[in-house]
Amino acid sequence: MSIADYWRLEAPRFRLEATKCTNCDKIYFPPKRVCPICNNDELIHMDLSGRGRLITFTKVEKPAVEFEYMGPYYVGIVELEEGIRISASIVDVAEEQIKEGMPLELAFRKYYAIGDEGIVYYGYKFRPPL
Amino acid sequence: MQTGIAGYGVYIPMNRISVEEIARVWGEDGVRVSRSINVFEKSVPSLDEDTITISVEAARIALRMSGFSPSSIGAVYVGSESHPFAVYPSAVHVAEAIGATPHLTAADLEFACKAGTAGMQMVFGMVGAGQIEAGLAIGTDTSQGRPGDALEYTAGAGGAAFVIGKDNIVAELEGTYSFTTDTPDFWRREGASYPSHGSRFTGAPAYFRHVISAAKGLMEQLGLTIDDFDRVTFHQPNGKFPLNAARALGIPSEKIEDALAVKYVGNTYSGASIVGLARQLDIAKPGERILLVSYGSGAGSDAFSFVVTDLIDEARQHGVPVDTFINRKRFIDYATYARYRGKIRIK
Repeated sequence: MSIADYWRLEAPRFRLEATKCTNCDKIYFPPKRVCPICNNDELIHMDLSGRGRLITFTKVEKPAVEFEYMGPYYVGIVELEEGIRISASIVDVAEEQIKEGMPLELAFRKYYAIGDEGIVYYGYKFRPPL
Repeated sequence: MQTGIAGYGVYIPMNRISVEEIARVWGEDGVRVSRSINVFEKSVPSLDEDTITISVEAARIALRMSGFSPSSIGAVYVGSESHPFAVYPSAVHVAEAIGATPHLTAADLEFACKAGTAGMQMVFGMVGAGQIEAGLAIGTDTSQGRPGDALEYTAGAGGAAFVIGKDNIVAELEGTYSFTTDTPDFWRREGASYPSHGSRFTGAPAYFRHVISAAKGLMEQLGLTIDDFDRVTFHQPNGKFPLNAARALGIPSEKIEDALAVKYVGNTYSGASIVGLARQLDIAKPGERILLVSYGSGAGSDAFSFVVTDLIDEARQHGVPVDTFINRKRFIDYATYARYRGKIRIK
């Protein structure tokens, strides 16, 4: 990912910023500028609640190179209170604890670093509620 | 209108390693070591946790408790000696993550273990002068301890964040006083992985002189005596130093005991004294007066006097108690700890 791409995605990745259509109330995450349902281009920004439940998950035993440092870890589909489904890492959860339907909340974590001198990417992950 | 703390939050990673486990690796008597430093276990950051992630988590809790909107935050200061970047502020990450950008000032601070309280003084000053409506001061560290060094038994990870303003005050600031000298008890050179320290020199001329002098200076400034304080928190490099400083000031141990999170999460450096403040605020009653004294090697201490307000009970409903983090834990062995703290270089 280029630094410019990372910068453009900071709002959704840092605080789950979404957009909501002022005409049909449909919520988009990542944010869209135009509603593809009603073609309305007046969308408002909103931060999603960060509260949801785990729909499904898998354990990543052989991560991509950038994420090798974290392995093994869990990745799941999280359905937020607003109905939005997000794929995300699930952290602070033990093997015997993780199960479909469990409540989760937003966590702010490191994704990966570019070598020893490059930038460090951050963003959302999910964990059991505190 | 007085300034004060409107909201506070802490964050402590859930990994723990016991003092006994560290002692086992180095052939020491773990029970004896634990008793000598009055610390049982310490927190360890996960591979994807650092000073930025801990600061964001603590800031979110503090902001939610405060009732302030993100756009009303006019300053964000993050004090730490373990900022992930030498150049690229932790503070801008926090400001972006809580939605406070772009109309604010932000900066990273460093003064060993007291950079968090230095930020609090700065925000108190700006709010008091009417320059900003509210600000956020954070002290966080993922502390470094060289393998086999005495510091390794205590160097933990965690932080605390405080939203400071003039509205929704849960603890009103009565005054602050600092005591600062050039005392080389602990340092880390640019590019060095681990700090160095002056062993026993970190005691009498460093920690004790500065903490005790700052406490006395504040009381003299405010016309208070130690009996006027109901609760106390000091910097806690271990579980013994703050108790000994309290004894030297004539403070009964029960007034500081509740602040000693160090026994369960280790020394969180820039977070240590203010995690203790948060724990006192978790249980304080309206009207109680709290003494906070930080300590940063090099060396200096910032002392504060707070009076808890009637809003504290309602505000706590929107926060997360420190004990939630103390009790949320999973123990790891030394090998896992070594991996998590980068003490094993894979490539």
